[in-house]
Amino acid sequence: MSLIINSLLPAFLLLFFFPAYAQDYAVSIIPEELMKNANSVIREHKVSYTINSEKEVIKQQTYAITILNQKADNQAVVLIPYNTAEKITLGKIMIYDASGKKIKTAKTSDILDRSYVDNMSLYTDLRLKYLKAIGSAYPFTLVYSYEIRSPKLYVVDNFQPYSSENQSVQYAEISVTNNAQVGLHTSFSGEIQPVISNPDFKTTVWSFRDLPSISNEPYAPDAYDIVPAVFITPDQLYYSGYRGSAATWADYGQWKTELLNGRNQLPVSSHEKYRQLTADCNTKTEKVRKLYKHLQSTTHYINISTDIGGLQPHHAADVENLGYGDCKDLSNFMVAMLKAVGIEAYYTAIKSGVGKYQFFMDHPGHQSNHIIVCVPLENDTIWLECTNQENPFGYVGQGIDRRFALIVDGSRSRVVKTPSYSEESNTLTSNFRLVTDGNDTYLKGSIRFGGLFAGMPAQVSRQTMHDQQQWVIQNLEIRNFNLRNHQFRVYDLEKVYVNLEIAADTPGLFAENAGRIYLPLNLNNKIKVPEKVRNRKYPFVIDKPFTQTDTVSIVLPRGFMPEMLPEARLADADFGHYYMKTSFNEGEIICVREFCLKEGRYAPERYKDFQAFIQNVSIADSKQLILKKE
Amino acid sequence: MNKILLTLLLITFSCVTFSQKNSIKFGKIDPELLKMTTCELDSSAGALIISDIGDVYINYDDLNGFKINMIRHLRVKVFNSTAFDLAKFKLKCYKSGDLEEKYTRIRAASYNLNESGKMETTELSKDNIFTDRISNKEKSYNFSVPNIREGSVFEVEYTLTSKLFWQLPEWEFQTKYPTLLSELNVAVPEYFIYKRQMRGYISPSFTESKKNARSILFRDGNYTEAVTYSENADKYVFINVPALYEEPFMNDISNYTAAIEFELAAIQFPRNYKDYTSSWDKIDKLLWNDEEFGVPLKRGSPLKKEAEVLKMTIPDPMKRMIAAHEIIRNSIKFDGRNSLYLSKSLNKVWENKTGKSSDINLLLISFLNECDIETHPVILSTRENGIINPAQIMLSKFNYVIAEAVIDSARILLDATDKKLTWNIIPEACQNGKGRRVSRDSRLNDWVDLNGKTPNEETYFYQVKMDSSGNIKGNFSLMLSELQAVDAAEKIRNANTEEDYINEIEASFTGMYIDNYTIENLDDRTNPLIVKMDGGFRHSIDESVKDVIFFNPGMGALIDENPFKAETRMYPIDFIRPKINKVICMISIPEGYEVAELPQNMNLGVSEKRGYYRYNIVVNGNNIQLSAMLNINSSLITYDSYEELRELFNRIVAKNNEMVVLKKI
Repeated sequence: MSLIINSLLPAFLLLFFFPAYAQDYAVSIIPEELMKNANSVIREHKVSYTINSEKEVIKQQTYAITILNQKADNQAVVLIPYNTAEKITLGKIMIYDASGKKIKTAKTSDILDRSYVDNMSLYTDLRLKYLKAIGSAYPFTLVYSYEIRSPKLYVVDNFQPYSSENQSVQYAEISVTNNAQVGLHTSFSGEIQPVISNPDFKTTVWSFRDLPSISNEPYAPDAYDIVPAVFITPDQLYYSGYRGSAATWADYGQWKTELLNGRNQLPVSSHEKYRQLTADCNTKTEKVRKLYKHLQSTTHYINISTDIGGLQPHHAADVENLGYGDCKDLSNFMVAMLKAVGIEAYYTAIKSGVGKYQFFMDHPGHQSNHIIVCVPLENDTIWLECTNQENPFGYVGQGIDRRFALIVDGSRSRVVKTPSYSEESNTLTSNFRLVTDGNDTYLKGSIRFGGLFAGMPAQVSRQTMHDQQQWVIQNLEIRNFNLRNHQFRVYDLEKVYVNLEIAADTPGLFAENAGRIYLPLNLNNKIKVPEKVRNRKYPFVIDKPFTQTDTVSIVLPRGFMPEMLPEARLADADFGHYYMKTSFNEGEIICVREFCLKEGRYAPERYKDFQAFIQNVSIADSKQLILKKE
Repeated sequence: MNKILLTLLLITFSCVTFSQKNSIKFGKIDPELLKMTTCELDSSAGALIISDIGDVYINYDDLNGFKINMIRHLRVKVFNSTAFDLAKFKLKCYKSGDLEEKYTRIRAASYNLNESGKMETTELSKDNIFTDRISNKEKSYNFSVPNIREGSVFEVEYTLTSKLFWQLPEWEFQTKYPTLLSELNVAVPEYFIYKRQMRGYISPSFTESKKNARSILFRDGNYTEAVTYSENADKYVFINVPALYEEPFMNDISNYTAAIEFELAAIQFPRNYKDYTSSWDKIDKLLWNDEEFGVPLKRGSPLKKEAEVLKMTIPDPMKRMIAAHEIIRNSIKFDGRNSLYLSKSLNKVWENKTGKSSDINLLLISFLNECDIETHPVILSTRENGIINPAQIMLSKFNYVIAEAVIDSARILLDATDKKLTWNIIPEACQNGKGRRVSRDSRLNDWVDLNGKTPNEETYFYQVKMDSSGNIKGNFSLMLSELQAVDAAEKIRNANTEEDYINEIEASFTGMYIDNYTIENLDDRTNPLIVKMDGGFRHSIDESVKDVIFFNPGMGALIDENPFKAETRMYPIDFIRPKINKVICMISIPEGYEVAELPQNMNLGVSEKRGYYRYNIVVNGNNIQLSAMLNINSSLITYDSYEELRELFNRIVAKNNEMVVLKKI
């Protein structure tokens, strides 16, 4: 059968067989929905991976972004990190005006090639291709493309169509051409699922179209709850000669264990040194504490990584000699020290960051950015943050709490969860006494910081006296005072908490004003009222529950009687409660105040109730004690 | 006997002046240092700089000619882990054309007491020094001193060589850690004349100047000559330097750090003399003869046509100046970089429509002159670059240029880099002490005050009614001017929506709710920014005291906490500009109530008319009228007035917390 070609067909044939249509970057063709609340629009974000073998993965990216106004200036950059083992080829970089006409092509001399050693690092082999596009009129569109050839197969990608808030996406796509037919597993995040297609049996494409902009809302949940992403991880891994599997968490942990092999030994003399150091410790916990404090006082954080150094620690013996290393090095060294005194501990991979709790249980592979140490004992599990010299022993801070982590233990590698804090463990308890004896007025008392509140004061307690004083001054809500004395004490034997004792002169606090004295009763806890949000789109979370309990006792100045003893009581079944109770007894006024906020995750419609609840608490909290002259 | 004693004394005396240097040799550590647990200077310091000694000298050799050498030897005692970062070094060096800076002989070591009380030395190995090739102009040598722990002593020594004679390396005598000894030795052949500027608020413990005779074999082709020259050697020694702390309301901290910098004034070889910058006149001439500063200004402007149009259509010079400024400001995109000089021709700046701050403002100057408005360049140093000291003649301190237009007798400073600022406000970064007018007619050259005289004003205005439950309803507005308006307008523009800004105001006043609002003059900085709102405050009424209502008449807008709580202060207070804060409230009291107690009026002043606070409250029928005004006249208040300022705020805060008492009739 032959194709009948008549005069009409060639036109149709042309339409079907011409590969790509000329991209139109005119701003007028962007759908109106996408212009709402947007400072920039991603016109096209296409990434393709061609997997030829475990030693050859080619990434190609085309990126076109329209900058609508100056708020998105920082997005008008070409920023491509790469490492020296990879081969990078940059395509043309062009700028188009609002009508879609090309107005500039960047010269190769405009593109900076710089090393990417950040402040935290001493040296890495990361480099950067960098160009800042400056358009003289808004809107303008920046378009660029590049290719990177990589000799490893480790993570394929964590692809996110969005790169900023207040940004909409016209089209985004990730495709994998699996020439080597390696096994892959894929997961998605967020509320919008990609469209999946297979142009041929080796290629899979995941795409998103016309995504509206997302604005930041207060008390937002983890970004991955809302923002769509496609995670693609190979089942079999290859990096710098190390082979392994990421088919299950146990497999992945096994691979990570191999990276540690041969690097976690310490010389025999060191074993002896640590045994002696912990000789007079009675319990295992005390031994761990002794060695942790030794780590803190003899090492500090320095990042030096090249090649697979991003995943593999330096030899524990070297870290011991040099006295520095990054989280992997210091954690690995800590584990080796504990092993030397017969205590089992594990190198643990975790994703650290405030509020970054999301973990994809069904997606074994690289999901961490930090390493800590887990020490399972009979009655307790101790977690050690090895990069912070001022961290109290066993303290689990806001960067690593209540989330999943991977214990690296050969074939027994497993996912565990770090401790969470409830409103009963995050406590802020204060006890103050206000005394006036005619001319002098002074305040004496203490604040106890428990749970997640302990982290900051523990750090501050190690700083200079001047810096400590500044912090104490900022944390007291008294309108006018002279700090006389303060003392921090950090406790870390069972629970971690910090005690701060304060003594201050408070001139003018009992100033008489037309026969009355007005005294505010909240001395150290300012309530921050959340901002209103009209038409909230996304759920909100309260992920740092707490209980504040404050007691203020005031010795009644001679000649005065209480006129108004403030009292209030507020409660919400979901959010928490507040009460203030003042009583007068034998010349002394005692005010007890408690504010408790509970953990929870709520639908967006409930936000206005939450906002009103906190505002009501702040109004009740502003009541003052009023004393009247007799 | 006496003669021997005298000789001994003399020897001891000379040892005092040279002992610092001679006794501090790399590798020789007094074990007592290791046992030290705190230092007297500051018992809570994380570390103590034991000695930081610099030797800067210019010498000559056949191969390289004259070159600058700096040897630095730093020795530190670490008390606790908060100071471990001191052991991290990133030595940066630059390349300018063929001339390159180099680091050599980098060595470091740490000293610790081991278990048996013996001193243990760990040296930095060459393998642990990393070379970071930052770009093709910049390189960095990165290393961290090994084996640092609590109680360690460590030292670092390195040599820097350079042929960039324009500036000698800067030296800081003070850091955020206390220092026992910081010493700089500078030895320069008579041929090189450097100006020096000292910064900071402490003086050297002693200084010493000497002249040394040096002889070299000067080679010039086949011609060799033995030359003797005189070398000027200066020594600056600071002993027991306190740590440098930041305090609220300060200019950039670099202005307060004790430091010294050098700039080349002239090179004077026997056969030729090159004078660079020995007087202000010379600097002014230098700039006007520079291809990248004065020369293009002497030629015509690329905006000839636009100038013609403006001259024809806007006869009034002030209006013409504003229009011309608007054209430049709105057309050219500032790329964020500062300089004193043009980075391309004025034509190219206008063609490409982007440029550095110097490109934009020099184009503005050129354009304004073309529009027949006499305009001169004013060079200055931005706030983060440090403040200019008119007594020290150094061109390298200037990093920015603005325009000064002269219309009749008015002198108007103009900057066209920021689209958010109208013509009458120059960026906050530029409001830094004094700038220098460099006119083509050198007789007009003089110092210009950069800190605006018009105060930043912030006014709260309330017109409200209170009901018998203590709830308040009505309208209120916030009016901001000058820099405060600029900041607020910026905030509003950067927020997702205007409403976010209003929500923020609402959340920051206890019990406030805002029903409606308007924002006026968001972009017009010749007028104040006005936010008008209507809504109210919810107060919970206390049942325990019936028939009496207590409230604060300031509606939450009065300053109720002293911003200066620290008892002592080391550095002057910098408010940038004079400020005026006003709160005006008109409150109608509820029906059936009368005023039982009212705060008393108050009038306070700071010495030398530097500022005052006026609090006035009256009852007018059923209304209470409050007017409270805080006026700070000078932007800079020296630290010896601190006590007074602190006391002023104590009393202001006490007054602002006083309540009005209403009783049921």
